[in-house]
Amino acid sequence: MRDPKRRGNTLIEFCLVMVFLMLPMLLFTYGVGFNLLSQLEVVQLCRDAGHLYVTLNYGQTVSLSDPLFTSVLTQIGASAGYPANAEVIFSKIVYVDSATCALGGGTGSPPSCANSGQWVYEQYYSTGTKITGFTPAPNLATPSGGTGTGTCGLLAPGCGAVDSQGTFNTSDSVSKPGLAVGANFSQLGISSYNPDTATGLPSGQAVFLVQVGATPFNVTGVVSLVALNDYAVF
Amino acid sequence: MSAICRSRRNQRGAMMILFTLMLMTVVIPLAGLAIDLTIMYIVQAKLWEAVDGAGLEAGRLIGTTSGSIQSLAVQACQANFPSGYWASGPVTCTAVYNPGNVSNGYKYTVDVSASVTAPTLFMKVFQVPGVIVSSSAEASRRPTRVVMVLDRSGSMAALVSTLQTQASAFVKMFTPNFDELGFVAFGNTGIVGYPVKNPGPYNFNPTDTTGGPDTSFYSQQGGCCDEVYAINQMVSGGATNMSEGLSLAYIELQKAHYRDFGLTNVDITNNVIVLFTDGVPNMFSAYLNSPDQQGNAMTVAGYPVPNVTSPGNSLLKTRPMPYNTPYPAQQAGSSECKYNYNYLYPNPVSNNQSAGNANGITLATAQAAANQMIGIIGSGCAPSSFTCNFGLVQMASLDTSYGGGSGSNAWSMHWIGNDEGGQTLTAIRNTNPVTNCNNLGNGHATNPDFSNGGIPDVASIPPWDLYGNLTTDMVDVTGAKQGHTVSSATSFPKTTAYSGTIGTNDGNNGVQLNIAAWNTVDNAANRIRSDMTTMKVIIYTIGYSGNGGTDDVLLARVANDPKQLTTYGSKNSTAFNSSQRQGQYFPASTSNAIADAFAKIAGMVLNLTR
Repeated sequence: MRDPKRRGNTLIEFCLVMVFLMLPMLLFTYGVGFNLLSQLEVVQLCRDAGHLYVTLNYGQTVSLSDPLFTSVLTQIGASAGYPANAEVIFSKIVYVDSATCALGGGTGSPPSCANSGQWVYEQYYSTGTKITGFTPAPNLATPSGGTGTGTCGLLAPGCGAVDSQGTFNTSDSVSKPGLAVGANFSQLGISSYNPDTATGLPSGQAVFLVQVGATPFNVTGVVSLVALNDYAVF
Repeated sequence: MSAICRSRRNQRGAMMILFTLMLMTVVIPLAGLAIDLTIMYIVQAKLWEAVDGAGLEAGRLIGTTSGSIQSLAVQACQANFPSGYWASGPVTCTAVYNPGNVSNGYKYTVDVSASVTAPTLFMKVFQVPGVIVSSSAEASRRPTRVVMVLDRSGSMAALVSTLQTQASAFVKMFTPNFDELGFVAFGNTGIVGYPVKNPGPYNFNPTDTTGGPDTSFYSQQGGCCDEVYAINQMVSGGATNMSEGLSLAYIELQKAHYRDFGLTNVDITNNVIVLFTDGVPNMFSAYLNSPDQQGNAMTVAGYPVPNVTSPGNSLLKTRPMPYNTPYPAQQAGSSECKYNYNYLYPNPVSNNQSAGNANGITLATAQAAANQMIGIIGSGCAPSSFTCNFGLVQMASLDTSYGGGSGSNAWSMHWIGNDEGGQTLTAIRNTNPVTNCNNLGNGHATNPDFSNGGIPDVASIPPWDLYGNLTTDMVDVTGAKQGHTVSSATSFPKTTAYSGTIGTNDGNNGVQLNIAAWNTVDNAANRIRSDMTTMKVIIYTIGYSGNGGTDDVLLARVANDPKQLTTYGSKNSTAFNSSQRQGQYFPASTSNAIADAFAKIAGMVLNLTR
């Protein structure tokens, strides 16, 4: 016979275990699992958005506000929370060598520009909802003098004129300090063209960088992440 | 009872032991496996992304140096997989560039592969410290051959700068030393703007291996004379000889095909024509001295090339005009209008005012020298009005005195395919021009007929134009004639039957010539697209509606756009030909829409080659 004094102990223990152990474990498991899946979706969105950016429009005079582009991006980003809970940043980066400098109006022999020898933005376009705590990897400088979304405002002093697609004038790209990508670009390991070894990115070619940030699933005291993010060059 | 209690007492803790055993041997390993597999899947997804991005990065460089392609592919792959991603090991990326050749159908590929050791958290218990994950991607494309056909007519005056910017951006999307690009501009006549040639008569022969789009279209260095440079020399002026622009583009494509693949080999290159216009065709070129001759089938791909061998009947009227009367424009001292009006007569030899005159040659001489006497006829009217003057606009003649030409065979007024005779083009046609490279197409003689009250020189409309394109309504795939009757251009006389005759009251009636010009475009595009054996040309069209309106139906038909079935009217429902390459028409009402259209066409063309 069970000791009547011990009746209810199991229930109490069960409740205590549930509250202090099992429930947090379940929430933790759910939170981690959900964020793992979300991370997968973020990677997938970054990959698909990059495809779209580079192949559909070939990234040159891309119309990022084209309804077709926006519609497709919304569909492929829905699982990652785009556009309400995710941000996608499209940027086109070029190296300012003498030929690019000359195209931008640089003079002299060889042509000289303020941004000569640097990687600069030719396009920087953010779409979706800005995610708190999302630091676009690899922590590149964003065009300065801009708005809260990191995109330069019209005639912003740091980057010159920019159109609705986030495209800068070539003359500004080669001369405005605010459009330099910064030293952190070297972390990507993309090299400019080396004529001696015939390696690196040929003159005039661009690196297309797509960065995605998304709001994580957080549970107070159990799961606490700043932001889910991913980036890729195309 | 006591036995039962004792038995229960003996079983106490058994569940705990079982639970613990289950936890240790089943639950935790299963949970660990799930977490480890998820992490592996994340690493795998990132690795896919890494090689995909690297493939696209390197794929854009196909056609450049192999060292660049391979090194960039590896760099991009490594950049896309950050060190220590989800605690994984260092990524190993490799890239192999395979240039195209005959055996693989000129398919150029970049193969990127990568592998990494994905970490395990729970599986380590079972002595599995990591799992090797690998991924690969291939980017491939074939060379592309594109000829842009750009409208430079007078109505383009305010838009030509925008067009130059956007057409230049289009050119830069392709890969020099790999893709082949060319450029034709058309106003009163067509001009092959790129590749740049020296002055002289255009060679209509598609087996001329010195012509056709080439791979040097963009130097990135600026200056004379790549295609971007040539595009930026274009100035507006003249009417809309659209069929000549299309026909020249096709001849140029054939030249490149013959140069690259010979006469009969199937072309593995994607052959593309991109037509931009802001108006409706109202002019076409024809033989004036031999309108009954369509020409021999001296072709690469079934496209007749003019080769008139007998004078035949003249299209030109005789007129009560004193012999030996110089034309006013010549009297005015124009350096470009050096023909004598007598030469327009069918048999002017005996009446030639100046045999041996340095200002021109006789018709007989022209026939003997080149078997050609070419003129441009049309109304020059806007579609909204057909009461303007029409007739012979310009003609070509051999002019031995033309200073900017190349000797005795320089065409003075109408260098079809090269330029329209302006000496300002001399520099751009030179081999090593350095200065004065401007005003492509500018400087052609203004139409003396129009400016002098409209003198209808043309007696009748020929059955085909200079390039063999019928002036009559095209018979569509169902056998029902449609032709101009489906035009959507404002006020176009689509209800007027095409008769091919001008009639007596032709001084202010350009309707039939406008219809003929419309039909030559419709027929030219159909003939080009019918080449499904060797070249399989695809046509894209852009119509800018902001300069008085264009013809959506015509441009959709030219592109063989299936949207014409529903978008542009039911009357056109039988025009789409599924046996021909399907292109697309892009209507544009703003400069941004033009930019979008060029970008989308580039995307389509380049994706086609992947």
